[in-house]
Amino acid sequence: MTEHLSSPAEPPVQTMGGISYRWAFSVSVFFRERVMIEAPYRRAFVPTIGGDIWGPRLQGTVVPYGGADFGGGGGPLDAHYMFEASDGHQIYINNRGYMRRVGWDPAAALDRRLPPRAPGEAINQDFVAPPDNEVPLRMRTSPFFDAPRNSPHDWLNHTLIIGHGLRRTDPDRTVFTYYEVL
Amino acid sequence: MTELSIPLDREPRFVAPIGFEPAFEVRLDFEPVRSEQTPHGERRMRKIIGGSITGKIAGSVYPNGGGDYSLGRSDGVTDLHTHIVLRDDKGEWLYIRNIGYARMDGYQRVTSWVDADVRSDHNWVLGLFFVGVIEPLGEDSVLIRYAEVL
Repeated sequence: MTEHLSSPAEPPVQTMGGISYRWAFSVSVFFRERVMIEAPYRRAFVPTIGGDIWGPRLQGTVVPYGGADFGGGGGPLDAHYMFEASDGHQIYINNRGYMRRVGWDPAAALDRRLPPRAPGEAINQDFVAPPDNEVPLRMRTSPFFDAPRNSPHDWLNHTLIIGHGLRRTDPDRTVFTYYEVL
Repeated sequence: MTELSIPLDREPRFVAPIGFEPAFEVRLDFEPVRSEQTPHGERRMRKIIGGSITGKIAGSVYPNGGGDYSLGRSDGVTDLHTHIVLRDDKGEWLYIRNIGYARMDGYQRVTSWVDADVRSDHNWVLGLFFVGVIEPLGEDSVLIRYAEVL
């Protein structure tokens, strides 16, 4: 990996199960709205109201209302939004992921019951995403980026990245820890 | 946007650990590539015509209908898009989707996820990510070593 020369400032390379990886950066993504569209294939809409990016290989902010998770509720995440790096470059992220409840039975995901809905009645969208200490999740993501080519961020265009997501509340946010797969 | 930054989140102890555990290895055999220049780049289409899976799942690659539809980009990197259908030794069907990168320096890594019947022995794969490290085996075969993301 000639382009990933180690320097004292960089976190150590870890190796497990034949995969070498290294912490690249972290992102906190803050939320307000949570909308569930009860389509036959359930769709959740959770926009990001902004956030923070820090770590050895990327710093910046999450663009306020620059996108959302448009994924299936309870199923795969499929988030599209934007980063603004601290040098002003704009970066597109498509974050795909899974949230698997600890102790989950996959068969339980097959059927879901919808509460009845009276004609004209609005749907109660006041649902919450609990913090990890209440509902332990294994949330892992695999983001794909479009970053400017002739910039310090070009590595995002060709490096596989795996993220760890941790739900936190007060305020409502998810903290993602991103590792580059070497 | 100070309210959208929590100093506590930045503490080093919140660099959450992940890990990897070897899961299975898939050998894929391809027909020769069919390439075309398209508005997106060079689309390299290859039929998957055979292969095998070993490790925590044992079986064979279904030779009819799986494929790789990689895209050669203008920066020399190839975006990998592979759809694999397999059967285990009991005839159970599985689907693996790979997306990732192949670089000029030999780095070939994919993120993968697997579908299996929720009632099958393989339902542990559901809702998980796998990382695959791809090694070429000659001109028309590859070996993909998959590790579960812990």
